[in-house]
Amino acid sequence: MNRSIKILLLVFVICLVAIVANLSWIQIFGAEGIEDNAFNKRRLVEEYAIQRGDILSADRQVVARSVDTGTEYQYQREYPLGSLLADVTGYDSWMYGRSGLEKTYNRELLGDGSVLTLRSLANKLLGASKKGNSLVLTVDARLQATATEALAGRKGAVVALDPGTGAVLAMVTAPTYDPNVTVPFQNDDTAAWDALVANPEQPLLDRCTSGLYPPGSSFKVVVAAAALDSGLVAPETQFNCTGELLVHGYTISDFGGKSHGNITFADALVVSCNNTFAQVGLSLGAPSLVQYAELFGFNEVIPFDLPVAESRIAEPESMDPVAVASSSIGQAEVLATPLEMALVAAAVANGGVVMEPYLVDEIQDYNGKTIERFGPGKWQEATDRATASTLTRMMVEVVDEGTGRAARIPGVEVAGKTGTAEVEGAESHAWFICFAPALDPTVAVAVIIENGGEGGMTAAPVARQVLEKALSLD
Amino acid sequence: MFVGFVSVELAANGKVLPSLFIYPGAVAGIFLALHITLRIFLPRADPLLLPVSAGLTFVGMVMIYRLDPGLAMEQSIWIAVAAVSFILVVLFLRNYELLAQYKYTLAVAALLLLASTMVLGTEVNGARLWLRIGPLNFQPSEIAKILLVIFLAAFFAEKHELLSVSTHRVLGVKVPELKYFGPLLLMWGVSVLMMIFQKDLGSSLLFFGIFICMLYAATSRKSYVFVGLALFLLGAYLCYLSFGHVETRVMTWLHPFNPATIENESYQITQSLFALSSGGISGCGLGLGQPNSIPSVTTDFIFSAVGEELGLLGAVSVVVMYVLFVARGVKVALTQRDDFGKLLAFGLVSIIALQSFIIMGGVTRLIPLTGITLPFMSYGGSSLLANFILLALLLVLSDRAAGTDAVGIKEGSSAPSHKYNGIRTPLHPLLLRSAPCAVLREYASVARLAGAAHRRSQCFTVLMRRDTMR
Repeated sequence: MNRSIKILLLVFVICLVAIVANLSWIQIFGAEGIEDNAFNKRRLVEEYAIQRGDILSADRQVVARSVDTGTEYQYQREYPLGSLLADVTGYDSWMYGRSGLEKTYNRELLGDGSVLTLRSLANKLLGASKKGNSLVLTVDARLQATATEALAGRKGAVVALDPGTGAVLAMVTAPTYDPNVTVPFQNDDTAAWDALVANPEQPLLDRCTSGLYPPGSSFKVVVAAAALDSGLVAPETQFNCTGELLVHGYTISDFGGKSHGNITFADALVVSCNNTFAQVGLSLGAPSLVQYAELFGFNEVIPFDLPVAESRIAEPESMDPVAVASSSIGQAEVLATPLEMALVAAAVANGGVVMEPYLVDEIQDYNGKTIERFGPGKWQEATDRATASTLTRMMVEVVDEGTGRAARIPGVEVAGKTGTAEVEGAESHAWFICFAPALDPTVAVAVIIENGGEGGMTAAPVARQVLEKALSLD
Repeated sequence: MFVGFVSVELAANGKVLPSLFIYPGAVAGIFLALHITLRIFLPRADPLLLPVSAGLTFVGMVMIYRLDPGLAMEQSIWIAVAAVSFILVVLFLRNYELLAQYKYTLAVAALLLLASTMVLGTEVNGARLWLRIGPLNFQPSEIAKILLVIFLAAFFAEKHELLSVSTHRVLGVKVPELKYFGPLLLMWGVSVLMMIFQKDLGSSLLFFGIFICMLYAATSRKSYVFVGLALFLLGAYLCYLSFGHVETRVMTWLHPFNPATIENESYQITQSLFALSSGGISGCGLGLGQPNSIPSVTTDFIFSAVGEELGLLGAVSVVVMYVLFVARGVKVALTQRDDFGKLLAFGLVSIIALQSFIIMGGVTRLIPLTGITLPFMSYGGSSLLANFILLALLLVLSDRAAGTDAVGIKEGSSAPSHKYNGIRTPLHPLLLRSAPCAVLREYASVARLAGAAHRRSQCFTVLMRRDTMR
């Protein structure tokens, strides 16, 4: 009897030792896989126990802040400005995850940023950093409001940049959404979010960075820069517009089918002559055209705080003359985001240099002390300074007496270019890209109104309102 | 335990009020009273079983206080009630042999208790194992398991020679006559019935496990074990096929992270695993984790909460305490003179061993999860009551065996008993002297670290010893 009892003791001990072994496995080696499980809400609970830093607009309005909800997920987001900066800040929700700057700067907002300064270290050691770091945006809420009002509910996007630095001053997409619906701490109602996801107008899509549209005639700015920069043409170079240009059996016609007759290159931009720009594009050749487009940011991922769709132009090898001609007027396989077209305008304004666009001006600790500041960064050199200033003069003419007259501002020289991008089976997309004041630019703007018709009629007035507001804020 | 309470309070409120010491003080007082009772009535009782049980109870008490301060008061009242029954057993059941005479009465009582829930029980968490008596919920299977062990011990002590006789040979293995498999089949039937009618997989597994262990201890016949295990597997497989809840248990064991079940059926086990993994080696600190996200964390899943907040070190200390308890208990069994005492002591120990294994293995996903309390630690009156009665019986048995030792009738393993007794004498005065120092040391460290990382296994060992004043 004693022998069998001893054997059973051994069995018991083996069983209990197996528990120790299994525990060690879970708690030491297996922990990674288990902790990363999407259904493990411990991390979420821990994260939401931290009061995230605020997000402030350039004019120091509170765009996002964390409030103590007293629920399991203690601190949750509140967006006092509602939908105004929804596509900039994104949302932070334990239920739906994160997007926008809330996602990009999650670590900083939670207070464990990559930059460990003496101050943040001291805060950490003193246990004082109960609140995460705040973001101060480059975006001005007032300009954002003006741009939103100017769009007046039409589908489209507005991007305003400081051409000298690349700082984004406004970034509006419409329709948009109220990020507060992603934070269901007041009620458990998920219907509002479900409606957003199901909405065919795609309010959750940030058109500024992810909407790809044919740029139409606004792309002529890129073609003109290429032609001028490579020495192919000068503003005075004469062209003959017969109204219709036959390229390998395909006809490039001008707006309304009218012919411009003998015309200078500068005037061709003013009246947006398709015939002339198709000729220029064909003379430039596909490789040169694509090369310049890429210098302006096409076929590249724009370095940015938010995910950006790549603006596209076809590879030179795959382009036949028809493709080259129609690409030169911003049709065919050319697709651009509003952000990209704003960069084109800003590059011309900035002497041919494309700056990296950015949304966050500085990061502050919970005391409002700056711990990191983001300065301007040069991205690419598209043209030389002389080309840029020649092109600027031409674009001023566009606004003064050409297709962009609706963007004229009394007492301010505005440089701009319209675009009316044909869409098969629907009204054209209306574009306008511009900057002001022409000789010392402080703001560059790109506007698109989906199916808005003529750029000079619908997009240019929106751009003018944004320019006026931006200039009044300086 | 004091350190544990202070830590919890610091983590929760950042300050300590004098009233905080009521619970640990009361529970420590209860154990002191039990210790004095033992000194007076059972002076030769095993010196380690009570401190180990106290250690487990203290860890459980600290965790319950941390999880739900309201339950801590109820738990301390239950500890007091259980302590009273402990004293009653020590006072009136010192002549435990009497129990053997009432074995069939006890067996019938056990069966009645089990059957009562099937008729009168209320269903909690899908299992029907509670009896509602006035304001109290009572779990009869906790008491029934002790009655059953007493019955089995008496029954096997009487019949083990008969059961051990092998007359047949099957496949070269000596096998007893077929009719002696009768009790085995009966017990199997009871277990399967429990599984079916009460949906109580944990108790069913425990009852059958105890039976097999005692049967093997009594007869040394491996064939019983094999046939028993085969029967159990067969029963489990049949249940797996015919009952949804058994199948669910197995599926959640094999695939806990299946997204289809993780929010429902396997929620508990995955929350437990999340808790354990977030604990790591040293734990996230008392009061600083999120064990409340595990359903029924104060009862069946209390071990997961220990794993989360005290880490691997804390959890392993708990396992080590169970190993100590089992080892000491088995030693009590080995030193018994008569078969009844031997089987009784062993049966009681197997309750603790199997029950702690079933639930600790369950919440760590070593074996399929079956709901059952963790002895001494889980919140629950009937569980505490049963465990304290069990402990009292074991101590009565150990006192008797030591008494016979003194007379000079030694049997079996005198060597280990000698070794343990050797530790006892020098330990006693030494610990008494070091206890105040340990208290001061602990308080100093807690004050210094103001709440976070420092309560580890060594705390428990020190506390366990200090609180029982050995």
